[in-house]
Amino acid sequence: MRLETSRAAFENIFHGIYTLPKIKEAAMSGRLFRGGQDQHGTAGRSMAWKLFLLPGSNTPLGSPQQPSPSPSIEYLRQERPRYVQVLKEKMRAPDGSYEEGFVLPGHGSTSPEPSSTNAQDWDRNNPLSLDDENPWREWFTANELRKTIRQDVERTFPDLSYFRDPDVQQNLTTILFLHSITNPRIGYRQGMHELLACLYQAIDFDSVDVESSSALSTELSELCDRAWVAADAWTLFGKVMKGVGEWYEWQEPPPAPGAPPPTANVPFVAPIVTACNHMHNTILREVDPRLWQSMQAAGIEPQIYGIRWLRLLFTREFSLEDAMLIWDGLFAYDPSFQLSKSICVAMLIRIRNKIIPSDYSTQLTYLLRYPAPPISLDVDMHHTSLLLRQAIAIHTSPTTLVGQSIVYENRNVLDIPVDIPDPPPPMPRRTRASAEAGRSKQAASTSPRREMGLPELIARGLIDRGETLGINKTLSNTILEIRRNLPDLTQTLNRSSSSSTPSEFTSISLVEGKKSEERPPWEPRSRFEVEKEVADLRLLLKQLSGAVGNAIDVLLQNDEDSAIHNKKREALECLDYVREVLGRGGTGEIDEERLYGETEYQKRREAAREKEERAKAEAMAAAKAKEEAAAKLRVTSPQAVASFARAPSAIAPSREHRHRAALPPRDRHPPIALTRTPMTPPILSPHANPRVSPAPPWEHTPSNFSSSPLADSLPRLPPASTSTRSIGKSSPASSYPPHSHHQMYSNTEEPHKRSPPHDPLGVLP
Amino acid sequence: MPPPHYDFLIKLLLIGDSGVGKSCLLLRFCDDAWTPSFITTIGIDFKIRTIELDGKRIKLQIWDTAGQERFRTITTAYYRGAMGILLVYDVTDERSFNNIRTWHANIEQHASEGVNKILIGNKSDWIEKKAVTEEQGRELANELGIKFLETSARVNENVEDAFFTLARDIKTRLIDSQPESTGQSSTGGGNDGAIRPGQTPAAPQSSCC
Repeated sequence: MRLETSRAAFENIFHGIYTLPKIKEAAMSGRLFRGGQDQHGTAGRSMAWKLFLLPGSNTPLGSPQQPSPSPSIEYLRQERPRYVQVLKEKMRAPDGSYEEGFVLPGHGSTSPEPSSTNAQDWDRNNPLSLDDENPWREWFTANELRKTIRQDVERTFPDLSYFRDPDVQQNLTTILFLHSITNPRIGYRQGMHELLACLYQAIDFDSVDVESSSALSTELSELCDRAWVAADAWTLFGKVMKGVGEWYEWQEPPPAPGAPPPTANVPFVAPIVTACNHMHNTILREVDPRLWQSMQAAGIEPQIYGIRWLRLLFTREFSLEDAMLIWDGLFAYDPSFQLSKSICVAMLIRIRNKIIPSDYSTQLTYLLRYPAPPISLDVDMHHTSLLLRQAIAIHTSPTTLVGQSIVYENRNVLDIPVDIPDPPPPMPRRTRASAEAGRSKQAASTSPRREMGLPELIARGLIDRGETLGINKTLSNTILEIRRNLPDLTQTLNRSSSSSTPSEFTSISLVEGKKSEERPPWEPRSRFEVEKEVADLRLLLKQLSGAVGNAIDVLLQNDEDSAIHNKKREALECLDYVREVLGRGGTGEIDEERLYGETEYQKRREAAREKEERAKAEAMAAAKAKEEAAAKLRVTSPQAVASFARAPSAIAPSREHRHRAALPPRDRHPPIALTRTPMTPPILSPHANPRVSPAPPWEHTPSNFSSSPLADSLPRLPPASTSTRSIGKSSPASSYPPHSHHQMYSNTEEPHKRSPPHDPLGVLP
Repeated sequence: MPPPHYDFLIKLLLIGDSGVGKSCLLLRFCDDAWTPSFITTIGIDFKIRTIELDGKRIKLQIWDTAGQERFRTITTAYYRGAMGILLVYDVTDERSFNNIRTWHANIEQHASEGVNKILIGNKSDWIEKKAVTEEQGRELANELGIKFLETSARVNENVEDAFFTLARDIKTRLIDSQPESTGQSSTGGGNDGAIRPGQTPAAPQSSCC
């Protein structure tokens, strides 16, 4: 039965409808192996891996070609005897003997003949000789190495019975031993065993017994010959290590001949550390500055989590089944595994909601125990395919825009909310009411560390510590800390001021203009842009539905007095306007006055203005509180400022103070938001709560709706997924338009001017 | 779920050869569980347990290192901010015992001065395979000037003791003593002694290793 599935998989890959690029695409989107799975593996997987990883199959020349197993077979024909050669050479004791039961693959079950040795060199070549060149020394070292490897092999995937099989364990140990001894600079490092185990299992799963099934095509039986499972695993492992190997390097490479000796003041930095730093401090910083900022503030060092993610290629972060789906895409995309770092970044973005509000310990816990994947809402889109697709997008274009799109995509497909939740309360005894109040303001204050000035930080820290320690002890500790940390202070201060710059950009949300300008006109739009547009369209529909509902309400009234008559005229105009918006396919800007009619629009504007006044009053109160806090602070020494600035994240914030302090004075708006066009309202991050950032009255420009206080006080970006999906169910007020489509489409046309009433239906007097 | 309130945060480190049972000790201490089949730790693992010591709630942040990572690669990141280290060997494996000196030298090189240490001989329940006697262990501990305990993660023997002993020593060194009276803190100039409630001991904002 296994034979049948292997045959079917082989036919599907090599004689099916696919061209090579299509196969790769299918592998990346998790569609390559439909069917043929059981709990032990997936039929055809190792065939595809051989196709992707072995040389010869990937000739970039020519038009999309039909994949052929022949290049892989050709290559394996050379490698299998090489394996036997290495095996014979390295497993032979210095006296020419082999361990009992040692069998060479492809040679039946007979042990190889012991080879004759240099018998005359007995002084040197005997197990007890103390000679430095005694070959037995090397042999004993090799035995130690095998023991070390064996220890890890025995602990490989303890839950899978397949890996408890003594033959499997023996083969894994041997392959790892041969690999390390032929690559002595890296040798054996923990983690390699798990990579090999996955490869070995896949190859073994597809393998066919050539002798007992003569009916097989020669190609299949040669590609997947059971006699050569170990040899093929060794070959594939070598290819995987070509890409991953440098992440296992732990010692300085020997200087190239002729090169100057390494200078002592440049310490060796392991490539894995460099890779993790690049992933974290370059790619992530670029793609999701806000997330990077929060991890940076917590003091997370990327190699702490990156080492395992990268070295094991995600086998510990996902279920084995899911990890293998990721491998399919990884191998298909690029045999040097360049995509891995981008996968890490996509993984981080996926859990950004959990990371950003957390403290150091919690962040680390999430990173080292990666949360179980959410269930995909899209039946055709496995979460691993989504991850791969996102990784490819990051790899091709590591920009904040791509990061934003991924956040939205995760919302649409995985139902991961865009908004960052509250951080867990610092004290368990907090009332429900204050939690609720906190939530409404939370959005804008999710990164108070960045936004707060030093005085607030100090005030916050002092009060928090006062709570835990009693204020006197706090002060003495603080002074002690200052004394200890003094050398770092200047550096830290510099760093904190420079690192605040990129974080401002986190507030850019859907600034679409930049991207479309960068893109040449002949390039198709990316999936991410489409994704974003869908989200915006949903909101637009919701908005239209609200307007239509409003109009219907008006039309249902009796038109006895003229006021209602007027309203009806307005309602009809609104309906006509909705028709117009629908007619142009949801593009272009929305004129909200036309959408709701003059009367209703004025009403809403009034309501929004009131709301804004309230928010302003709150902001004033916050500013006052801030001053008070700063005043309190002056009692401490100026160094305290630096001490708290140094590790603001670590100070458990007092909720009350944070909220007050985070309430915005106007100038906290990221300057970037206002640069594109002065008429555009400030663009907030998806997490920003509109209530806390109203435009002040003096910024009100009556001639342009988009900068009116009403517009500013409205939710801008898609609310959490659940509410977005229930299109049209909410009341008109709550379905009020977010502003994203202004930004989205503002290139296309000027905002609508109020047009003279027209009467498409002929009902006006 | 709000994190439990605590007064102090202490970072501990488990160090020793591969397979001596570091992860098992951690699992026993933090989750009171045991499994015979443990996977190899890659890089580091990390668990938290909050204990109460002399009326103070102390959050122990325990880092479990991979046995093979004794190289500069990443160890500096592990050692940074560690206040206490458990040096673990396997009483049934003489080599792991002999390697303790190497590990100790490694600590001297990377960890901050004055870090508290304790020597742990694990798998003490495996009497028939015992290769290192308790005496040998104690001698070595004396020589290194640190405390010593034989433990068994499997039968849960002395595991609590080991962590509590170390935690108490650290508390004595860093918390109970008055900052002014400890001569070492003013000469050190580093942040080895700083225990800040709610704050990680790992150096914040370091952008590279």
